[in-house]
Amino acid sequence: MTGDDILEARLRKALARDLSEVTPRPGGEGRLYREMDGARLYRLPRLNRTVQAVIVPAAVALAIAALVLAVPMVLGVGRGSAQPAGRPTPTAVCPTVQAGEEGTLTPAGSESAELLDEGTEPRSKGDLASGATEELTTPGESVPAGESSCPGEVGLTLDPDPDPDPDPDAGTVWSWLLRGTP
Amino acid sequence: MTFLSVPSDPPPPAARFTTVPTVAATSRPTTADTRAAVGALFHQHQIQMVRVATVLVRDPAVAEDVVQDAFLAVYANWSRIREKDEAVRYLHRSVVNVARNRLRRRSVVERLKSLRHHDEVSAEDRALGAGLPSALLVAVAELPRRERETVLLRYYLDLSEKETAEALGLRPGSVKGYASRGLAKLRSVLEPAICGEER
Repeated sequence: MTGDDILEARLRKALARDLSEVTPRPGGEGRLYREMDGARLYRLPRLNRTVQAVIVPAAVALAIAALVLAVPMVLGVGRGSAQPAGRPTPTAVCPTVQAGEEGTLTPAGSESAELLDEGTEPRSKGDLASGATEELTTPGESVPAGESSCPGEVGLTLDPDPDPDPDPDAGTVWSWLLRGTP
Repeated sequence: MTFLSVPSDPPPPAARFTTVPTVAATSRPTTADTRAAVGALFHQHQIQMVRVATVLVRDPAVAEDVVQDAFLAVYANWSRIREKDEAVRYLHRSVVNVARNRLRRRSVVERLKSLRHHDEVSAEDRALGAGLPSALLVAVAELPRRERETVLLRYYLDLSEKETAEALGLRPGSVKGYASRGLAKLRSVLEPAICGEER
């Protein structure tokens, strides 16, 4: 027996003796069972490797795409770019029936309702010729001279300031959510 | 239920690897089977593992957490354990790895603390204050990490060089070197004890 063998034997004996004084606190087993229950409850089901190979990259790609789309919308990038600055919103204007004339009204949404720029006079398509048949919201009604051809409005030609206090959030996701439509 | 009683001492070395319940290779274990098997493994090896972990991490409370985590790792991976002694080998590897992780985390925290407080206690003071009951255990705790792990697995758990190498992720030749260096460093602590016993 060499000196190292003796030393190893002594070390084994001394370690066994000294470590026997180290004793864990009781209750470890109950804790293990509780933690095993927790591990069982919260463990996700194992997926097939093929399913993992398809689902995980697809989910990651979808998440990235959603992020790319959502960030500009939330930040409002591109807000107001649909119309040039300083230009009023085009509005549909009902033609005014001039004195001595009788007009024909066509239902809302037809080609008689035109989009006019600021300062443009209301135009007619030639439907306001003298003697033409009148047509209001209810076909057959006549429109008195000097009145708007739209029911309930008088001489409305153009809204000079369509939105004096514009919504700073206009065009953002938040305004869409509040108003219900983009 | 037999699992709820904690033994006062570990089983003798010859009986350590003989009665570990394992999973039959042909059938998939149920949760109840797994719980029972891990419970039996815990009953047999918990105290020993806590003792090893106490010297590895130099803190009895942390050592108990380390051992709990190791047993939970065994439980989580039980379906992969096929051979009879594989559970015990897996447990040894888990204890060593979890202890290494705890030490790494603690060293980062202590490094950050030492930047703020210059009057931190030294590593030696911590080892002495960690509840290690003898000069030998303090000396083992102060060995470099690989030597410490090798000495404990080779000379306390009585693992062979091959088993120790497998548990530590080393080659058997490296284990021999670490064990030899560790033993040489412990000689000064052991020789007075030898002289004292021979007298």
